[in-house]
This record gives sequence, structure tokens and C-alpha cells, in this order.
Amino acid sequence: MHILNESGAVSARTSVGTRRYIAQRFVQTIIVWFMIITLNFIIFRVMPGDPRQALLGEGIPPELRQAIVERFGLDKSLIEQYFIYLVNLFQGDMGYSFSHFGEPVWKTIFDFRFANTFILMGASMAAAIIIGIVVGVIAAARRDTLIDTGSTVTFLVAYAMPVFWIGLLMLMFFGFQLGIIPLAGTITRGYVHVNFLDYWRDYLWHMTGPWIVLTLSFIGGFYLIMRDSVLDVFTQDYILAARAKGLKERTILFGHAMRNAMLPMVSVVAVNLPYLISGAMITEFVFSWSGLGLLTYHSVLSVDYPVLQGIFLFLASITVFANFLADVLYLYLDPRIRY
Amino acid sequence: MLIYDTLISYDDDLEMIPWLAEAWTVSADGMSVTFTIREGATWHDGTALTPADVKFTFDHHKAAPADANYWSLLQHTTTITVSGQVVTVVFDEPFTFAVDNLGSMHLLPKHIREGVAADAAVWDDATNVTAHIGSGPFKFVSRTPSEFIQMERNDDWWGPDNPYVGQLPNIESLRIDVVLGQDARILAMRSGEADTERYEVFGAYVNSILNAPELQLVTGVVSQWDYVLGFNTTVAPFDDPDVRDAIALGIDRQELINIGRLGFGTPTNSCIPAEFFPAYFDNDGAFPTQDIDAAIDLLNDTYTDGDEDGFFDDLDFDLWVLSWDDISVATGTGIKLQLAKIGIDCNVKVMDDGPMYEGIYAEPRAFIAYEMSHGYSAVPDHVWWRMHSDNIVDWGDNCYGLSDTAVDTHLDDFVGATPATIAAAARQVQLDCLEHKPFIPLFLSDDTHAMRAEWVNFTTPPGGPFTSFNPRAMVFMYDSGLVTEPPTGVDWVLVIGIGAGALIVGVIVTYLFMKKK
Repeated sequence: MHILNESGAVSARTSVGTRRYIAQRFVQTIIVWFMIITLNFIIFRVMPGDPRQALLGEGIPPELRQAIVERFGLDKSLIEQYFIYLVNLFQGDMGYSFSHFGEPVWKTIFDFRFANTFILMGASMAAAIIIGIVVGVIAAARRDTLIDTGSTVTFLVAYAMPVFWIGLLMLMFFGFQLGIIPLAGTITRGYVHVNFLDYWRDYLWHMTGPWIVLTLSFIGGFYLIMRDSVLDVFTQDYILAARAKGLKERTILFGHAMRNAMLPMVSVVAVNLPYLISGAMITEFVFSWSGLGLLTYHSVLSVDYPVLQGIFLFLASITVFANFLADVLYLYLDPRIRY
Repeated sequence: MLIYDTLISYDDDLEMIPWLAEAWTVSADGMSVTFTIREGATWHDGTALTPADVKFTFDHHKAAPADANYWSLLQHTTTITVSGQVVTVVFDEPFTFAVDNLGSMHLLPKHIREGVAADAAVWDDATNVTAHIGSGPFKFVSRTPSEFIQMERNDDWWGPDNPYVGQLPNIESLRIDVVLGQDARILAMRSGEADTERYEVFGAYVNSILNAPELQLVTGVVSQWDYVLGFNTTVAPFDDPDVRDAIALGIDRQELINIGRLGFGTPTNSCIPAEFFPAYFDNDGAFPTQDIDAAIDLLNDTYTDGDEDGFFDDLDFDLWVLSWDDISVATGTGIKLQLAKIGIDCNVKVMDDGPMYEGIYAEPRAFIAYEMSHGYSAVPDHVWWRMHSDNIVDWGDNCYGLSDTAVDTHLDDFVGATPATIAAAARQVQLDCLEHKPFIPLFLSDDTHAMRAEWVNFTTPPGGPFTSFNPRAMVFMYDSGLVTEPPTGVDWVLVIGIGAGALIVGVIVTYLFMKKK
């Protein structure tokens, strides 16, 4: 389907140049991704500490040590390990966790931890983005008023406070003293849920604490960028023109200023997308929220290389492809971009 | 030890006691052991537990992949036979701790496990109750990974028939929750959501427990964590036995405990300390107590203080301590202070796990000296691992470079002793450790457990009340019902204080912003 722009020409988004640009970006993305795969392999081999140590404790007979080392292929040369890694990777095999009963890495990551992180981080980021955008626009429109300064100070303070500290305070007051949020976990331990809705009610209740903490910590960034972006847009001629046309302030603000100020937000959101996957290590720890952040933390402590490799690979892949998508999305969102 | 039974267990002195096995014997040559299995025991599904299940367990582990627990030990068995209620295991060489090791294996039901690989995914299936059938005091009910495990009392357990137990567990239902942060765990215990926690309380939190009316602190019990000062005996200055002797004389263990563990520790003066292994300890192998003058005299024979800085020349060294272990780091500081008194300049170097373990255990050993805990099991064969020269392989534990033929022979005698020779063999290895001092035992960290105030009657053997050494703890302990009321409502003074403070700061900052603009 060809989309016509105002002048009646074929839109930039379907032109040959655009297609070539997208193809080039895609090839670049693949190359970067491949480099990441390689780096992901190398980085775990050059960092200090030997994974064999994590597997082998005191009092393990030499033949047992050898058996473990052979089982995980740790006796092979690095080149050999690299090719095994590549072949396995393209077969969807990320290896076996050292510490999770030797289960496949994809299971360790995706069984339930990915969903826990994605839901928590998604909800927190969505709330932070919506609040950040709306308050950011209002603050920009009411520049230098009490609303502007008050919200800037509030969100900066929330942004600057360590999440573990807010988390612990929440556990102390809302969890322990008031008893309105749970102290740990994603579900009530030992409770048998009567149905799916009951499960979700319980799950979301457990998510309240970490959700508030993360939302508070995220808002600041989105708010400041939105506010600055809108302030910048306010200086543009078309805003003046809109005012001259006698449009309502509300229409100018949300119909013209906000829409145009959204462009930088696309990049910011794209850059923040990996958080959806990586999770928030400290918040997940404080609230015992079993997600990928916590898995990363435990894997680092237990030198669980296969799991760490799996997480980092997944994370890097999402980052690379999210940026590619953001670039493509720009073509659609910003008609000024032409190739 | 809760869901699965073992053949033997340990009493409060870590002496072996009958568990599922009513009795055991060791032949005079140490080559064969027998276990007499209790009659009338059943698996959680009601099937009778027989000696054939015990034989199956041994065979199963012997045929398992080479990296399975106990595989190595079982490769040395020649025959495993059943006769009536007696299981006989014959080895191709004597193993001093064969009863301990075989007796510590979790028994598996033949009728469920037979024909299914030991590493099959079904054994880790959280929803499969049949896969988790054991014969222990508690039955598996459900598990949600990373959240909780639910167990209930096994009312058909054989405990009442065992004179060392004599009853069913007082606890009817048991749930193990995953609560990661120490702060959250303390709040969970204070609110009554949890009754106790698995690990000892970190030093910084001891006062939080003592100040919480709903909680009690279980103390006076040694944990399994043994802190030692270890030397690389192949490099200077610790290739000189006099330096090791002098340092042993310069150490005041109780002071180190006060510095490193806030007083919650028990000094140890042997590589097989009486506090953990009373049956094997020999006082002749005890390390000396602090004698600063004697230590200085010893060093004066060889070393001088040419630059007159108060420290002997050529005796300064790096002492590695483990970054995440506050006890290790603080104790390192204590050692530095004590060694300064005998003229040795010790530089405490805080290391992360990876570089520390690699430097200590992997060839070539990069460390000069370290101080951290290893961790005991109920079987004192750790001395073989730590001192025998055959154990110089990657990630071996003989990191000290002690390669002494006589010591090796003594260590082999110790782990291959018969009942008649074990006491003498244990004494000899303690004498060897004292003579060569590849490491200096310092102290056992005490098990400072937090528990709800109303819980009583818990037993406290070495290793702590909640370690796997002691399933009896979970049988005898109970909730007295005398609940200390948790605090109700909010500490409004604190809330208003924090709120008012935040408000004042906010108003001032806002005012300054506005004024500037």
C-alpha cells in the first residue's frame, strides 16, 4: 500500500532510499549482534575467577573434578568451546546452568523469571512514561510556577534516592507496620489460589511494592526529557502559528506541542527497553521478586557462566534490535527524515 | 533430612546415632560395613521400606554419572548384599568414614526410582509429588520454584520407635519461604509470617534481633564455619617454619572473635577441634596460646629490623580476606593488629571471590597468606584434603604446598584407619598440623540464629540447630503458644518526623529554586 503525503508523492517510508536505509541498518544490526555473540563468549573467559571453582568445593575427589570439568566441556580449548557455543546457539541451545540442577539455560531464563521481570518492569515503565509525559507537558506549560518547580524537585529527589532504601522503607511501613503490602515474593506463600483471577489479584498485590519503587525511580528521567522537549517545541514557529489561529491552549499543548515533543521520547524509551528484560536487580532482591535481575545477581555470585551468557545475549539482542526498530519507527513518526 | 531419611544421624556431640539403621558394624580390617535396617518403616506412599531400597540407593549412586554425590566412594565397593534386615557393603580398601558417608546418603525408593536416570528432569519437577516421595519425618506437598516449599508431617514416620527420637515431630506443617534480604527476613519473623531463618544473622543485625521483643537470638552453638589463617609454605616468608611458629604464638583467638564476630565465636586450637569433633580431638595436637615474647624471641634468631621501623625486615606480607564476608575482613584487621605486636607488618588485602579462590586454589598459587572460613561437614576428613600432597590438582585444597611424605602417610592412615587405629591416626595428623603449621585454626563462628520468641525446645548441636546435621531439631522444637504480641499500628512519631523533615527540605529547595528564577 502506498501512502501519499501532502504533496501527493509516494511517502518516504516506501521509497527506494528508505528501503535501502532499512536494509543497511538491518545488516549493521546483524553485524553488531554477531560481534556481541563473540564478545559475550570472550568476556566470560577473560574475567577473573574460574567457573570450575564454583562447581567444585572442598573434598571433591580428583576423578569427580575431572568428570565435572569434562561434562561442561571446560577442558576443551577456547576455540573449540567457541565453535561449540556458536553451533549450539544457532540450534537454540544455550547450554545448561551450573547451579539450577543443571537445567537448560532457556528454561532458567524463560520458565517464569522472564515473565516476572517483564510484567513488573513493563508496568513500572508504562506508569513512569505516562506520568512523566503528562506531568512533563504540564510543567513545561506552567514553566516557573509552583507546579513546575515542585514536580521537578519531587521527581529529582525520587530519582536520586537509592531504590533499596525506598524499598526497605516501604517494607518497614507499608509491609510490617501497616501490613498492606506483602514482605516478599510474587504470590502468597502456601496459599492455594481458587482460580486464575484470584492468582492475578494476589500477584498484582505482591507487585505493588516493587512497582511503586521502580515507578518512582523511573519517572524522573522521562519527566525531565519530556519537559525539556516541550519547552523546546514551544519556541517553534508553528506553535506561534497555532496560537495565532486562536486554538485552545489545551489543543496546542497536547495536539501540537506534545506530539512533536514525543520524538525524543521514542529514543529514550528504546534505550530503556532492555530494562524490561534485565530487571532491577536491587529492587528484585529487596522484595524477593524472582526475576531476571535476581537471576543475574545469583548467577554472578555462583559464577554460573551459561546463565549469565544467556541473559547477556538476550539482553544485548533486545537492545540491538530495539534500536533498529526505533530507527525504523522514526521514519514513520518524523516526516522530516528522508533517505 | 526432612523428606528423605538417612541411615545414621548425629547427636548433640556429633556422635553417630541410629536413624533409619538400628545398628551398624565395621569389620576389624575396615573393609566391610553392615547396616541393620529398621523394620516397619514405610515410604510416604505407604509402600514398605526394605533393605532392598537401601541397596538400590547405593547401586543407583554407583551407576549414576561420575559427577554425582558419593559416586567416587561407591566405586570402591566390591559387593553390596542384603540378608534379612542387614545390608553389607564390602570395599576394596578400608575407609575410616565409610559408615558416616554411606549413612549420610538420602535413601531413595526403589519402586519409584528404578529404571529412571538419576539426572532425569522428573526429579526436579516441582509439580510431581511422586517424584519427591521419601521416608522422612515430613512429606512433600508442593513447591513453587523461587517462592516456597510446603511440607506436612508424616504421621506414619518411624520416629516414635527410635529411642533417640521417641516421637513424631511437634510441627504439623512446615513451609520454607524464599525471602532474600536480611531486613525483609527480620520483618517477616517479627510480623509472624516466618518463625526462623536458615542462616545465621549477620553481625550488623544482631542488635536488631536483640531489640525486637518478638524474637530471640539462639547463641552459644558453634556453626560449621571454621576460620583459619592459611600460608603458602612454598614462598617467603612462610617457607620458614619459624615464621609460622611465631605467628601461631602471636595470635589471641578470643580477641579475634571479639573483633571479627562481635564475640559470637568459639576459639579452635586444632585442625580437628574438640568443639566440633570431640571424638577425634587430641590435646597433644593443640596449638599454643598467645606468647608475644616467645614469638619475638623466635624471630630475633633470624630476622632484624635494619630500618628500625618497628617491623622485622623481609617479613611483611599480604593477607587475603574475602570481600563479602564481614567476619573475614574484620578478623583480618585483628590479625594485622596482633602481628604488629610481634614485629610483622601484615597488609590486609580485601579480595573478591573469583581472584581469591583462583589465587588460593589454582596452580600456580598466587597467594602468600589468607584468612577465611572453609566449612566443616560432620566427617573430619577435611585434613586429608587440606594437607595431602596428592591433592595438588586444580582446585585442590592443599593450597599450602605442604609436601611431606611422612605427613602423607599419616593422612592416608587416618582416612584408611580401622576402628582400633582411628584414635591414634587422628592424633598423629593433629600433631603433624601442629608441627608444620600449614594453617592456623582460629575460631568457629557461632550460630547466631534469629527465631520467634515463643519457639522452645530446639536442640543445638555443632553446626547449628538448622543444619542438615540435625534433623532432630525439627522433631523436638515447638511453639509454646506464649506469643509475644507484635507491635500494632504505625510508629507515628517516626512517620511524622520523617514526613515533616522531607516537607521542610522540599519547601526550602522549592523556595530556593523559585527565588533563583
